[in-house]
Amino acid sequence: MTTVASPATRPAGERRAGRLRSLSELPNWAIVSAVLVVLVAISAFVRTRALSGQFWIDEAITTGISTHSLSAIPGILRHDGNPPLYYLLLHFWMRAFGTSEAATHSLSLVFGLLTIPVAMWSGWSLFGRRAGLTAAVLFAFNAWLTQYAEETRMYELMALLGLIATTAYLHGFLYRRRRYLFLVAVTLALMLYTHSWGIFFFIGALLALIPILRVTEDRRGLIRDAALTFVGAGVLFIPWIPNFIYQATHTGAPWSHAPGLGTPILISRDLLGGDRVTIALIIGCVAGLAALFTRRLRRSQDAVALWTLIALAVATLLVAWLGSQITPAYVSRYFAPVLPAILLIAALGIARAGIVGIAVLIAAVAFLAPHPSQFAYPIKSDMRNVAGEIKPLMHKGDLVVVAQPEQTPLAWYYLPPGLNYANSIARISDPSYMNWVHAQSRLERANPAATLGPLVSSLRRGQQLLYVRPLTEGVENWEAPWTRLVRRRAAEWGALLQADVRRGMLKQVAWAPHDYQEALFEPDSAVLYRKVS
Amino acid sequence: MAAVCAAAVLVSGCAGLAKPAGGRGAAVDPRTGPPNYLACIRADRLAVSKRGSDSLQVGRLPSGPTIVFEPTAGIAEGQQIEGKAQGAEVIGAALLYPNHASGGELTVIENCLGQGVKEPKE
Repeated sequence: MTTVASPATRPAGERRAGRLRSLSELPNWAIVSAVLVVLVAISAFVRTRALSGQFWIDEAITTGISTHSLSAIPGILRHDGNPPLYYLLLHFWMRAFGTSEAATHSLSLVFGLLTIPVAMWSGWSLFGRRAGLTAAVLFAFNAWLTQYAEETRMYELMALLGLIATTAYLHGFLYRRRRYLFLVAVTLALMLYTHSWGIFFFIGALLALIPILRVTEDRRGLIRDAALTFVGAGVLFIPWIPNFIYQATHTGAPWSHAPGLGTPILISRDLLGGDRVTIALIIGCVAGLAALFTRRLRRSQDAVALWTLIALAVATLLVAWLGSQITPAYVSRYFAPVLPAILLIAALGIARAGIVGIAVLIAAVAFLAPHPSQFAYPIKSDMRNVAGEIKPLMHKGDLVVVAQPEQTPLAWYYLPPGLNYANSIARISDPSYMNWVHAQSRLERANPAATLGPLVSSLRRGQQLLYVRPLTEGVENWEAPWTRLVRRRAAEWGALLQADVRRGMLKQVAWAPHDYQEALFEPDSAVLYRKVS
Repeated sequence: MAAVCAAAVLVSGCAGLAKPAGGRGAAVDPRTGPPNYLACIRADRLAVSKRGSDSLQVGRLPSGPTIVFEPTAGIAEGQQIEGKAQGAEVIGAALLYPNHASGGELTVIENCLGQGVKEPKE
């Protein structure tokens, strides 16, 4: 007679084995869902440590533009230089959730968190389950995504679209799953409508066809599909082209430099999160991908996918780098379109690297997760503190003069309503956005004495003038033609105001901040003057 | 024996206990550094002269720029925050008063004053 031990009396080892068996019997969707929920929850925690951190210039401009009516936004963007998609989405988001820093950052957070399930789908569908899980982990803890999940800008949306576009691109062109080509066309168009780097990605994606063309047996079909896809994306972009041409010929980024040869450093430091993470990922890639360079595997689909991803990232960066030699627009926050390709390469490498890959993944997460504040700094500017100190002293009709013109929307966001605004170019009727049209030449032509004199004269006795100027700490931020001129103009305007104080026309009544905390981007100080005669 | 001991003491460096009459401190002039701002501006053929103990005058007043060196960049920044240096560009620990200098002249001076300035975290 055989006896069966009751569950309570079974040995511990047998009970564990039973539990593992029942775990392995769980359906795939349940395991995937559980992993995703955990990853998204941890990532959400990591990416909300500075959710209510104060705005800096770009965020205030973005919020300011998005507060306008839907019909007005495209027209305002002609003066700004960006395409409209994110601004329109933010407009609706702000209607639902408000205009606070935390509310507007949350939209980026949503896009950032969405990259996690999309990355799992991407890695899984392209390279298998382990790559899918690895990709989800990499996207959940990536430093760049953590930083910009708490920024009211379009970068997280751009990264999400870039991930979808990159995945659909490999499915459609490499694996010849043609139904994905429609998705490629749509996401390419959406990227063009989201940020100017969409154009660089568009060209980079065209160039990345080369590795596929080299191995395909249906070259003619591939070229036909590529033509249809890219022309389709271009056709979808036609409505914005008049604005795009106007922006390209009238606005620019005079605050930026032509880039040097520091792209690998930018990728390591800003995209991946620093040397330690980069080295860990490189080890994983070398361990997992070296075999793809051998004669046996170099024409395998994984190898061609790897070369296509490399080509996509390198070509996009190269086109952007070359374009920025003429019109500088090369900063790491714009690298969103290439981030997916880089992380998918890392996911493929780690997934193929066995135990080394697991160790690398654990190390990368250990370097990234415990210190989110190193990637998302809550004090990007100090305008909230400056305005908080000065606000109780200001009255309706007082004049705010901002020495750095693009800081005007930031001052407008944090100061109370009912104030008048001017910058070192001219008096401003709408301080909610920055007019970048020929900004450099307009600032060069603006004579400080001729501009300030009428402004001071327009004040009645007892009315006040708040002079906001940038703290020009550091040198790198102040070497571009625009910023150099801003620094000079700020001093010239300051000298004129001091002269008015000496003449007895103005009296200094307050200054801020009293507790200056080092800010990340171009902080400000403010001096309040009262007209006394 | 005493002579041998005295010689040993001298050789071992105990003689160094005696301080030089003026002490060992050496003043560093913020204008000549390092970095040597005075030489940098002169290298670009601008007429520059020392004024007081902490200033440089480029050209002549009232049109030529004046540079005042504060002990630290924080103090220079504090001067601006409190509205005491409204007419100055703050570059590191230097306050550069442009007065009526030309753009080209200011570029030379700004580049010189930018040497060795610590960047904020970014």
